[in-house]
Amino acid sequence: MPGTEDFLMIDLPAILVAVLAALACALPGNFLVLRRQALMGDAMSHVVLPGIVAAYALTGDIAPLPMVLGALVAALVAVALIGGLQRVGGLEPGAAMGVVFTAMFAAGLVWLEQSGAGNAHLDVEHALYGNLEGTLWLGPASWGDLLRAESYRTLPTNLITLAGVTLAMLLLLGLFFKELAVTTFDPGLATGLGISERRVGLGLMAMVAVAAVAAFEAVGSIIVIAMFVCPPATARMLTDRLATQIWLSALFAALAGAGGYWLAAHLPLLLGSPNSLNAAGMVAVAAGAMQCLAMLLAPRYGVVVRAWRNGQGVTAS
Amino acid sequence: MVTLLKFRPRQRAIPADADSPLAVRGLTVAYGQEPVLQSVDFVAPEADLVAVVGPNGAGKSTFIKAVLGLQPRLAGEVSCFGRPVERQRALIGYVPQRSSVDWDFPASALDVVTMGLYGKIGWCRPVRARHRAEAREFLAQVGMADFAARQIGQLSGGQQQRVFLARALAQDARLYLMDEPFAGVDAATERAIVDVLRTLKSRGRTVLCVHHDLQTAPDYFEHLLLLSGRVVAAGPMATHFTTAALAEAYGVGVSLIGPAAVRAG
Repeated sequence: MPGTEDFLMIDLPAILVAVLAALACALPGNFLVLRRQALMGDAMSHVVLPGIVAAYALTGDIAPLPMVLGALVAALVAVALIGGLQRVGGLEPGAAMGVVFTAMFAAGLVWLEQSGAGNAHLDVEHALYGNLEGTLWLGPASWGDLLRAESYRTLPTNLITLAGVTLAMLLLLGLFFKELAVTTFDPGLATGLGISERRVGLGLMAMVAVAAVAAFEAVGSIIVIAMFVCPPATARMLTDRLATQIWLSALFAALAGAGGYWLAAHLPLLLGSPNSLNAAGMVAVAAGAMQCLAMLLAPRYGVVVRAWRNGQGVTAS
Repeated sequence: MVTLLKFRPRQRAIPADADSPLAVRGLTVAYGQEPVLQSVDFVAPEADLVAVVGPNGAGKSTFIKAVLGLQPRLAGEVSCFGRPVERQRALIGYVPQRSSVDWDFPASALDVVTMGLYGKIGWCRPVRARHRAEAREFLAQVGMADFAARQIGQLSGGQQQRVFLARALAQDARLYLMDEPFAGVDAATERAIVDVLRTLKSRGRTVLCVHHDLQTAPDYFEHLLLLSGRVVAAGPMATHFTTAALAEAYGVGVSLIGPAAVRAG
């Protein structure tokens, strides 16, 4: 059945990559949003580009490990530069981040044009919105093949990388949940308890950088930025418990990943247009739409509910 | 030269006040070029309640922060139970001003009190039911048992302050530094805070408390540190809370010092 084969070969790997990329970013994104450092996710997703290009220039290959290392180094340089600009230049944090990540991203783009433009896997277009549609699994031809071990030998490498990174994010959040929570809520108390705010903060930045580079490679910087911020912010509207917020953000990230891809493929057909939409863009749009819905309809913080409750209060008094 | 270095004593002679919960020597702090505190010397007595009093801008909060190392020190030494304060942070409980944290944080009153136990629980270990039960008892001690599940932003200012106090109790420190716990709280909270202070004292803990209200200072505290950019008076409340000292710190003609000074006299 050709429909099944297309789904298993083209749609399934792309959906999995979109969902995993969204999860890998949304999980650490929770703490970025709570630390009022949402812009840091934006910054990280941009500064990984010069890191990746540098790794490519040095090794001549796009293997995952050098790229992650290159991105990590670039992220650390960015964190140092942002801190330095605040101390030496007296810039406020937002301005310092804005200056550093735009300058580093632009430098990365210029370098990319010069060095790697000929390589199909590394060009300016992919840096922005990735290559979700180009993720192919040349293994299973029917549902039955999913049970056969050899089908999995041809799994796309970025799918494996993203699965590993997502798992690592889950593990790290589980292990350091207390430390991340207390340094975010009250750094002064954390220091008193022997939990260094600086170290945990740097650890979080490293997690963000790893998530950014893994997702960036597959889906481009647009999804990365949206996924760091949108699912956690949506989840925050719906709960007052930190653990619940993290699980909800994971749910919304997965929904945005799968739903965005499906919309990109089917929405134009439903509207009678023969073209399909850019999948990475649609994933980000879906995440944004969920955020809007939550802002309107959330049970406690939603605009509609609050307006209705205020109306009730007025009539009651 | 090398041999000389070898025989250099590792530590200087230990002064007599070495075992005091808090000994500050020559502490100087400046914001930029502006000196805020100048060569402050202070030794806190064991198991005592100390009021840190002074006019606005006297450097009371700065003193607390500089002691903890949250504010850089220009000069001076701070020791806690005979060792540099940086190495004794586990023995110190800090209750910051209420405005210092984000009350929109997704945490319940119980979650915040449980954070006081994180040092005891240890890195990477999960919070268990018995930890939460323990935290619940500390909440009960400040009269907040009914609000355990409430998100912290939905509590009143006084209730938030009591959550902070319960968290300080959970920390089980030996020295407490509190930055204006009485600021803008209701009468019930004020009583709860006084109860907590007395409990801490009876357990042999020392508490330094930035305090604004000169009327209540002699009732709530036994020891005084009166600051105005420098130490104006330091010692037992009964002998040091005098009209002359207050006039020196606040300037002459401040009507506030009238009744308080009368009571102290």
